[in-house]
Amino acid sequence: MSTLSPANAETPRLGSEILQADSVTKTFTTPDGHALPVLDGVSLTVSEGEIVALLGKSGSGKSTLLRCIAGLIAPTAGTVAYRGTPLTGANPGAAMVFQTFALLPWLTVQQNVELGLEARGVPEAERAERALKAIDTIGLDGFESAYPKELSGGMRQRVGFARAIVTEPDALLMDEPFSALDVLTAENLRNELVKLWEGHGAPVKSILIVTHNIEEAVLLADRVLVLSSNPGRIKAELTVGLPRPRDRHAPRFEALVDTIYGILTGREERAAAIFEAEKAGVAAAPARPAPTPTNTPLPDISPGGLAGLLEILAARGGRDGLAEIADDLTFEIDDLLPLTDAAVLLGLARIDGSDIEITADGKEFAAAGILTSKQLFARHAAKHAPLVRAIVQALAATDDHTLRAGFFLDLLRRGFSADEARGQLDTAIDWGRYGELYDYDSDDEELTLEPGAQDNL
Amino acid sequence: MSSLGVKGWLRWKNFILPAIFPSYVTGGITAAGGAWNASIVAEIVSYGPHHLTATGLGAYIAEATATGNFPKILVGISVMSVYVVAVNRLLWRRLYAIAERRYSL
Repeated sequence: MSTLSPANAETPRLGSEILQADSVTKTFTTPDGHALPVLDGVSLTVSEGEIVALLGKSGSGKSTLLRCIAGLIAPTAGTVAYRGTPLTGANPGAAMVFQTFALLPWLTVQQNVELGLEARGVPEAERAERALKAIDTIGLDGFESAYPKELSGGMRQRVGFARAIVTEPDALLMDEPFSALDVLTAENLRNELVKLWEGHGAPVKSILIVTHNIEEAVLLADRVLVLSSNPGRIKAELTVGLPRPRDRHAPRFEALVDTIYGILTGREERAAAIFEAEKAGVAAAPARPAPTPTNTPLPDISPGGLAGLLEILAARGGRDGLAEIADDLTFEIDDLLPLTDAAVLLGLARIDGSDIEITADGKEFAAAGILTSKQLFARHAAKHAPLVRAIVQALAATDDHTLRAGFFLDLLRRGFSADEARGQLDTAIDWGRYGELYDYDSDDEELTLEPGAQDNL
Repeated sequence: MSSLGVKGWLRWKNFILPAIFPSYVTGGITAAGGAWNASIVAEIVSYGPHHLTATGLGAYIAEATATGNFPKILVGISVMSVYVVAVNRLLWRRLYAIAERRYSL
């Protein structure tokens, strides 16, 4: 870890604090009245002159946190302050860039950019001048009178950027601004953002970017905050300390990406503990309770995808870095992590640092033919996947080995929202069907145990 | 919109009214057809011993039908058709085209 410590890197000179979030907690209430914690006591500050990245898996509440900081939604507990003044509405010093651009299709590029200025009562002549300047800065000159639908995705996001910087906000808040774009366009826009930031061409004093792309976070940010899921907490804070523009193949860059992969997979407790120890006030992770269907959600993957991952792993000699596998498959963490989570959950692989290693069971599964692999999957799922196990147990305990899906949905809603509960049950049905543990009749909405499935328990 | 601080009339002008415009036009077309139909029919009302008649196209057609005056029926229905087609072409079709061109999401 010592090579990763930022001690020898140049520390950026930081100005005053612009944004402060203090123990922000956000709890949503599901339609049937259960509390659903999304953020739990998250504190962070963003100072003048720095780019901070919020990194997490889907469902870690990172977008919710950004919306709290933007003042678009109010936290359940805790405060968000802009330059020391607690927010009571939209954050006056922040502008947002959205993943889906959120442009008004009936306004031209220039009208879209001017809207924020018009709302601040800027006179028309000055409005036009400032809008054109922002449009120039962001490389959109010539498109002032075009409508958003005439532009490509990359150009639309440029309008999003222009609209955000035209008000010269102290803080630019970006919610996965590059994830709706194709790979090349996204890379191009990222590089331009870095150039603007380094050349002080962008009239913003700080940037807070939400992303699920590790390389993007390390490429752009001075500090990376890693959020854990369900509920979101800050799990680790890393200082990047590399000069921009950054080289993705520099050893330190790759080492940081590897470390973050390790932290995100949640099993590299050692690394997380080191970072948490550095950051006083963050409680150490409590001991892992016994797995239940609600505290151990099934990763949303298909058994076929899992078999694919294990075959790739077996072909690579049984062990490889997560970042290397993701890179070779051009996967992002949102695609790869559910697969590795499932492999670990079923005892087919284990995470060691930022590497993943296949287990003996995993080798057997990867090498097995289709019928044997189904039997093996059934055995591992019934043994290690809490929801699958609970379903098999419950079905085996009834006289006719049949239960309504609503029964399991009601149980799942104690720990999940209605949509998530449905997603969990769908995954469990998919796994159970593949392993021939139980079948689901979607007309009657009933689950039926396959003969002999309880032998897998 | 809230993130840009767009409020009040500016919010209605740039956001709410344009956003509801296509649905408003569709609703207008449906409602106008029904309303015109009802107002034509309502020009003659009979209940019990009462018999109320207004002056207008609906009453003209109804009277011609009652007396079996076929040329008058033909004139009445033709005028009605021309009117409906004209309003559709001149008003609703144009609004619909604007909605499709500029205000579709």
